[in-house]
Amino acid sequence: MAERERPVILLVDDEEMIITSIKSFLAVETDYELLAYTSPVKAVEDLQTKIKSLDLVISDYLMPEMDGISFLAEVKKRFPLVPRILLTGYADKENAIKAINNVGLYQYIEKPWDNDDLRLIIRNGLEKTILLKQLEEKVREAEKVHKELSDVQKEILRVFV
Amino acid sequence: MLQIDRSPATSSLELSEILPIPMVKLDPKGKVLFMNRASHELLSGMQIDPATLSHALPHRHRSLLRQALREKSAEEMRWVQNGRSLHLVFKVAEDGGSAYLFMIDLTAQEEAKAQLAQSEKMASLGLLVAGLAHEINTPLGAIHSNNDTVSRSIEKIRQILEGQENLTSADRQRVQQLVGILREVCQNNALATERMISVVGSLKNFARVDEAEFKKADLHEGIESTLTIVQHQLKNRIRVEKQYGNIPLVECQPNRLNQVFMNLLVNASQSIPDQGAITIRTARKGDSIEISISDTGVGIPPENVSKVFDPGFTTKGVGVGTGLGLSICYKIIEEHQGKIDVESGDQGTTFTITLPLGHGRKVKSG
Repeated sequence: MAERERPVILLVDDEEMIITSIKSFLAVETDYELLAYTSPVKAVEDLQTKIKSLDLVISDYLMPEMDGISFLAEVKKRFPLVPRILLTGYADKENAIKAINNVGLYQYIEKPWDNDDLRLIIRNGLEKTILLKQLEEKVREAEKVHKELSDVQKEILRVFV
Repeated sequence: MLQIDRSPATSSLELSEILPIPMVKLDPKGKVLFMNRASHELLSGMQIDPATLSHALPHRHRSLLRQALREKSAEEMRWVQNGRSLHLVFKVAEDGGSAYLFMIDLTAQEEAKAQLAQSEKMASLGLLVAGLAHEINTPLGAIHSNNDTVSRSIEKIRQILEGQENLTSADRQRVQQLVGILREVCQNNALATERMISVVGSLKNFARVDEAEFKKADLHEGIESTLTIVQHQLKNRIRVEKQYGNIPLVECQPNRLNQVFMNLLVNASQSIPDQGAITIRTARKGDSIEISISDTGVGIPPENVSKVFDPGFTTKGVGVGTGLGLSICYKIIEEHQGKIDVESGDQGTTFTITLPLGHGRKVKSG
């Protein structure tokens, strides 16, 4: 297997202070690469162009440009398998349920959050991503082997029949 | 053809007896010649001797009455008697030498208007509280997380420094001391932010702006969050004793019930002049829940106990009480198909709320 790369996390919150807090915490406790945006619109733009790989996304719910549920839906279009986490202070269960059903949320974290909880949720989400990636690779390998086998089979048939 | 009976047998005085508007016939000097039944009821409700109507009126109202009689105009007056405030409009109709005085009672309309204004105030207070809680939440979340990050960083720095072999023992000691101080400060910050988080949580829970509908809710949760809100009125002065029973969820409007709890708790705390206690009991009684709030306060004078739920009744004085708090409580509990009772004596006052467990929804007619 290839050398393990630093997991890439995308964080969107219109409040700079939340970004600073999460960035600082992750810098102290993890080796994750954090892509942080205060503008969900800019983040969607970069998702189409700059961002080549992504392992997990965390988004605020109430943002002036675009709400977190719509933003996470955009992320899903580009990276369908990436776990999506909604971070919000707006303790509104109806919206949380809507998000879980529509966007296929991986987790819902309420502000103020506990750093240990946040780390655990991110770690579990990343594990899920890694497993999915491994599964994808295995499927690809299996397909490759299958193709090779059928090529051999064709060859045998061609030679003997 | 419709026949209208204009026989003189139905005299105007006879008619006036069934007129629901209080009416008095006065001679030009203001002497009462006749009063209809409605005006007798109004005046006896005010404990006023009809014979001395104009004398019974407070001085400035007497001149209003005279002015109304003189100018045949409508005059409004507010009449406060025995803790009840009446809003009357005087209207005069002249008939030969004498005058008919109509006293139109607008008190009920006034009270309904005031109640509406008060519940609108409570609703906007709820919105304000919810908005405030949301605004505080974000910076609070940042501080809470940052403090944790600082404390983790300190531990890592400590480990690095302790691994340094070229530190003097004095430096080593100083590092240990500083790390100890920082640790303590961070722990202190953590306690402070945790307390803020719990207050903000209570504010959100208290306001519950999203819950205007009837739903199953935990009454203890409502009482607890309301206690946090009124905490500053009780602090160090009033002991709160909770005797919570094992009660199921109740179908209710949680934010409306919180309003009731708040009114009762604030009243209880205001009734205790110095030190005292408030006891909150909850229990299941068959198909209903009983919640009682008792205080060790001064109690309600026996002559006022029956009036406490009347809109506008207050003994707190202008500017302190609106006289609406308990009348709104009464209305809210009525909407829940429950009842609220009061018992009072020298030992204090107990308000008891009884709520049905389910089907508390009032079926709107029409």
